[in-house]
Amino acid sequence: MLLRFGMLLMIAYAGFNARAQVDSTWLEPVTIYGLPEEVYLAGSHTITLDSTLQQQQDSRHLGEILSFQLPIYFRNYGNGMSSGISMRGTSPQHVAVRWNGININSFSLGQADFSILHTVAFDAVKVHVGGGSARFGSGALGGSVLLSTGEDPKHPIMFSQEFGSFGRYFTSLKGSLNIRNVTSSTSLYRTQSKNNFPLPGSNHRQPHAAYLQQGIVQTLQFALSPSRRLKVNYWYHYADREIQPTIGNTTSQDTQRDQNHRLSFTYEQNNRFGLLSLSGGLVDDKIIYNGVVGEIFRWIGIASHQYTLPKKINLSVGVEWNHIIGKMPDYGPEQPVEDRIDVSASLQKNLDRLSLALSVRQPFIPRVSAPLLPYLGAEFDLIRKNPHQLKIRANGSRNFRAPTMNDRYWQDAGRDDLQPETSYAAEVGLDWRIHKTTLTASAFAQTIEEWIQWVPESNGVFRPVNIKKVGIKGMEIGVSSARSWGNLSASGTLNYALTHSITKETHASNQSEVGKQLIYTPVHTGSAILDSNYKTWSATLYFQFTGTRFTEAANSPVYALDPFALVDFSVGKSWSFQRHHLGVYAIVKNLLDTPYKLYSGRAMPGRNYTFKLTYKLNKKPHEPF
Amino acid sequence: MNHSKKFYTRQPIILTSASFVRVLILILSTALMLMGCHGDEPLPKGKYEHGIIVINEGNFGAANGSVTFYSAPSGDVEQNIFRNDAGDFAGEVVQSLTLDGDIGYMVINGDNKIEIVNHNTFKSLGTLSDELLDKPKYIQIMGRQAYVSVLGPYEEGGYSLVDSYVLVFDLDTKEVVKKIETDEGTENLLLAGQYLFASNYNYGGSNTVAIIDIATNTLEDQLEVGSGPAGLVADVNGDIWVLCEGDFGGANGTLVRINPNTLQVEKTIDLHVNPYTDLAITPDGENLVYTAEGSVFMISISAETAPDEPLFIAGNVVNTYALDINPENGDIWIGDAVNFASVGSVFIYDAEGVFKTSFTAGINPRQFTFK
Repeated sequence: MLLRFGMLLMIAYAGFNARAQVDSTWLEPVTIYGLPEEVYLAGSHTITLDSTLQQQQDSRHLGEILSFQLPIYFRNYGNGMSSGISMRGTSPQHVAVRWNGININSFSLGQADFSILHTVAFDAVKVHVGGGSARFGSGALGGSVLLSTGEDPKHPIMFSQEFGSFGRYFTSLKGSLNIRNVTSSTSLYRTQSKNNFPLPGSNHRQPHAAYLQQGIVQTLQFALSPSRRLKVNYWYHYADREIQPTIGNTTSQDTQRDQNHRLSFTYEQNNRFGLLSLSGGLVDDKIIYNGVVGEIFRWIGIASHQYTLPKKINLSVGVEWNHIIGKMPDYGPEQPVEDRIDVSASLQKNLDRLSLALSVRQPFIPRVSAPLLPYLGAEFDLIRKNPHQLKIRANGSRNFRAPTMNDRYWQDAGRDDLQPETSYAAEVGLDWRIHKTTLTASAFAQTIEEWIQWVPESNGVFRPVNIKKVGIKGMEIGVSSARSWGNLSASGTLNYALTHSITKETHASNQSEVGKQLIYTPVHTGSAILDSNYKTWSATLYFQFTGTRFTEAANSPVYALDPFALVDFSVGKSWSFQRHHLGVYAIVKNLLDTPYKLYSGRAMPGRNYTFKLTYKLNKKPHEPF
Repeated sequence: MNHSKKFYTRQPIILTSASFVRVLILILSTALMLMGCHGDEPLPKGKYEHGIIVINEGNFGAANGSVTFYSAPSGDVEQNIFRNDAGDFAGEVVQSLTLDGDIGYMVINGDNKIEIVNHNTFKSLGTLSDELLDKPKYIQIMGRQAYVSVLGPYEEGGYSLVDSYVLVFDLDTKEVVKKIETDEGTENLLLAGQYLFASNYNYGGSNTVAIIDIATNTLEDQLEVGSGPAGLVADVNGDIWVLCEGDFGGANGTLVRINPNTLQVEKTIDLHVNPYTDLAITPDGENLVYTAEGSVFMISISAETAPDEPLFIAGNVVNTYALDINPENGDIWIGDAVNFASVGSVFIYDAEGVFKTSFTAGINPRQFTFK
């Protein structure tokens, strides 16, 4: 239905577009410059997802593609099922996911389900690694994933269609147009699969794992004047899934539907007083599990202002307000309602070879004493002689995670007096570049205290307590390089992370955890991408390695998941004709047919195939000045 | 010197045909004798013939329910001795094991099936499953019929049980032959004489014991007892005892005695605690044992009131998840689920409550089988 509506919309767009071209060319949208987040996080590492690879893999959810691009672990409860991120030795609740500046982690569970974040829905994906609560608020301990839509559209029309193993289909359609001072872009996507893959090492097929996911992203920009604009961003995602049961279960009937509405209105103006941005919006997250509706509704207001002080000191101040309504049956007859407000300020200054950043944030949560959250970072250009550059960096931060609505309001279990989890994080690193080869290395440490755990009381009832202390130490290394020889070009990246994430203290009943690695937190993680192009041909090899993961708190080897290496391979060919661009790809996932698990008892498919077709209409070249 | 000389001068043995026959007879008779010995002491039936089987539920949603073997008296422990045909473990929430001859029936609550094994080898012999087998708990075997307590479905859009029953399987055809409706939350089963007793626990929400006539496979009666009836044992006189958990936080658990002939409640003892669901009986059938919040209580079957003092306090046990008594020696066994997240432990105390030993089991140890 959604897709059919989208088709109509597309045809309308194409018509409009054709007509718009008659009297005007593609209008340059209003340009409003703000400093990117990285600037205020000098001293840490931010990765931008390669846009070509993102487009090539846009049919997959973020949990699937980030694990090939970065040394990050995802615990997926089956193929296409819920997916929780683990970055820098933390749990899925310790990564903040933000969409156009709005935190979209589930406020009931505290974590984001990456399986309902479809890559195709975003124009840009950035990952900030490490502590960043001073900029991104609650949950930014292991890192932050920054998603944005409504970037300047690159193509008036884009279409992509995939057919894959196990009855998998994917369709996406994007269109954008510009009439006078209004820019509109629409993105529609839909993916579905029977997902009845053969269970590795068995004659059976996976039962009851079919899924359908679809969504729409709509952006409107009104240029009110050359320096003022209004933006509307709307994103609706719908997922309907049979819950893939544990291996051996052939009778499960559990189903889950997710409905997520996210809407924001943003007014921006850029003048001699600085860049002012005012946003208002709502987030409505619904999970319907076996027919039971659980909903968290939020009203959101965000104001920020960026200004350059004398002596070229950049200043950014902001305030964020979340009005949260917990409509969960588990919270009892009375719906909890609370307001959370964050106030923040950041300063950034370049001094010749040195870049300094200082941020502070103070959250206000009812009946919770949230700490002041500073971030201090510095970068220094040790060598900047082209083609040789070497930068060293360091940062330290205090971070926090607010108790979730479940932690606070679960009937007969939640505690209103829970305190937030807090952490101190520190990191040193270097970025080194010679010609087209770069090397990035970081060593990090973090101590998380007051970690909230649900612990059984003597009557068997589980309740949350601020109890655990976790110490994390590790290092990451990444190398990338690109070469070309005539028509042939090749690029490669290689990532590795070593992570020790150890329980230092915990509840008396959990003493067997002390000194042990956190569950689902591999010590070794690695990934690599090799991409090569010859004329209009392309071939890409994706590789990931994941070490042993303990699934049981005392690190019993009986319950550990074995290490595995996964390889995906894609080969493509493209044709261009005037402004039309056509691409055809064949993709083999799990080329080596490796049996592996990302969560205990949940099967993942062996070798499988996808065929992909893409069409892009390029923008009309600009008129000469 | 002399001795060695004598040895040295000894005649070498040369087998004549007559002596060869004699030796042959000797060998054959020895062999026959040895074979005779085997007849008296049969060959071991398998690695797990004698010992204690621990059933571990595993983590919910992780399909890592497992079986641990404890070899008495050596104390050797082997983890995860049974794997289902697709997985690395026995299944999703392994609930209970019931033996019938050399065959073991393992109820897999989360997978809605019953794994049939040779319990001496833990080799699979097949499974029982049916659409009606929805959250099974315990199984009892009588002849070629199997009786399974089944929690049944939840209410639409909730987690309240709405249709529990006892399901009867024909073990030859592996088909369901009867569904016997009971009150909600049917759990423990006990066969006594011509009746099957089934406790309707429902986390304290039900308060009856169903009595099923196994000659006709019909419900004879549902006797009202305290809230949350769970553990069932028969004492030395053949009387049936039911341990009722009581109301949540109400400290009003009870022990109820049922006469298996009149099918009437004969005695109710207030325990003044909320006991854990498991009820054990001493090898002589004279004393009942139950636990509450880490204390282990023993009560004589002739007592009129509950003991004021526990037999002992299981100080090392964090969360009692299984209780039973070894019928061989009266040792009291406690399964400790610890935090329900890491591997559990088993603590063994002697009949007086003196700690003997402990060992690591699987995740959430729930039941012991002594054999």
